[in-house]
Amino acid sequence: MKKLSSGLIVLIVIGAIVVITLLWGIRTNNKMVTAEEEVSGAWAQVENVYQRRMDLIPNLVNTVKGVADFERGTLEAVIDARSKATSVQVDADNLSEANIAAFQKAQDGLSSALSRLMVTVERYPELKATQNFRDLQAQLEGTENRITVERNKFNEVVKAYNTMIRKFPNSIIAGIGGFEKKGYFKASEGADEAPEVNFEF
Amino acid sequence: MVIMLAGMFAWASIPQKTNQLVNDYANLFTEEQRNYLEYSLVAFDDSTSNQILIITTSSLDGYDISNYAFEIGEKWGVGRAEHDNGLVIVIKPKNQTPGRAFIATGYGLEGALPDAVCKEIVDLEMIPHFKKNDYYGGVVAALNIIIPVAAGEYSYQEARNDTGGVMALVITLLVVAVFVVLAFGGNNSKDNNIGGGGIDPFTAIWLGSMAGRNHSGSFGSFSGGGFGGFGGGSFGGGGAGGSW
Repeated sequence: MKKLSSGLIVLIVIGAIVVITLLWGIRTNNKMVTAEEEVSGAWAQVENVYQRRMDLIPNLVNTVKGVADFERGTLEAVIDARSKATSVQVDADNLSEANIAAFQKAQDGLSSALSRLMVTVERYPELKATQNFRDLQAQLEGTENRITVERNKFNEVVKAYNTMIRKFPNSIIAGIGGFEKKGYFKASEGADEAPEVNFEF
Repeated sequence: MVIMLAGMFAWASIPQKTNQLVNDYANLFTEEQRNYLEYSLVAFDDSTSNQILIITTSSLDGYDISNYAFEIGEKWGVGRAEHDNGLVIVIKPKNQTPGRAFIATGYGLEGALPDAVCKEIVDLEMIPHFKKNDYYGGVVAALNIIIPVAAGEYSYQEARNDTGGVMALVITLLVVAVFVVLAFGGNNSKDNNIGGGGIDPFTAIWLGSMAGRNHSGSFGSFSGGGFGGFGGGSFGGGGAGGSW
């Protein structure tokens, strides 16, 4: 049996450690890429459902406008809030806390304008009775439900991602690879409706 | 904080996943009705891979019924993962608090059963029966529309018209039933002999239909273990509900 010099042994050990570290680094990096893609996918769904609500509004506005003496103020508030919300778009590559918060603020503004409109509608039974309005109302409720669900799902994947990149020693790779912490949706101000539901398993 | 606590509390109340499509926690159905529903839904799952889950619960524990339905759908994985073709029907009977019903559609069924259609099914098929405490009747009326529509056989409008036909049949059967009862009543008062005499055609039809019903009922109890399990379907907030 050939005897290795102690220097060579040290070299081999160091070499092995470097290789293992590199492999671990690549694997961790790839896991983070996957997690980040999941966040992007969930974000696309969030944008999707918010867009769906945007698309419903012109129809809703037209239907409500048809009622002769309908209160203009609440209607205009919805139109304004919609254009504000349209102007705040967040790219999937830049889901920072500040961006998410700005997006949420604009959308929550629209939510409250819409709910005020729906309260006002209560005073117009002839409008509420039309099939067209009832369908719109069902669609709007469904859209709000979808928003809740997709926001929860988004928060869930962001939580997994943030946890992954911030844990040591993953945080080193995250620093090298430029993986940044992403923002969450917060429970809306005056969230008086439903208790928050999380999809944690 | 209070909201968070309520959420956590409510979290604990989502029922554990079972291996059944009919989960009658509120005891709204008889044993036979439960078995028949389970049997029908398992058969529907087998033939089309669409999974319909029925949950009845006497309390939502502060949950919004829609979120209750979505969370069960998502957690239990109702529908196939590749099609997301699951549907969850939640019924909370009227007790101290108002009754509520909700139909939640998986992503894959949102097209076949849009929210406005789900809303109509709840309002027009379910609630009129539920108001009369006929929970089984309401569920069957709803399934008579949901099943063909989800299977892609009919559009919602066609299925509705179809139910018109079913209704006519039901009315015919009821008329027959009245005749039978009258006939038996007459027999009773005359000579106290129920089984006696010749059976008229109406009675034959009625008994035949009863036999058919019993038959499928016993089939249902037979097929208790027939359900192949939930497939991992996902829910995105589709569906609608109502209250009474």
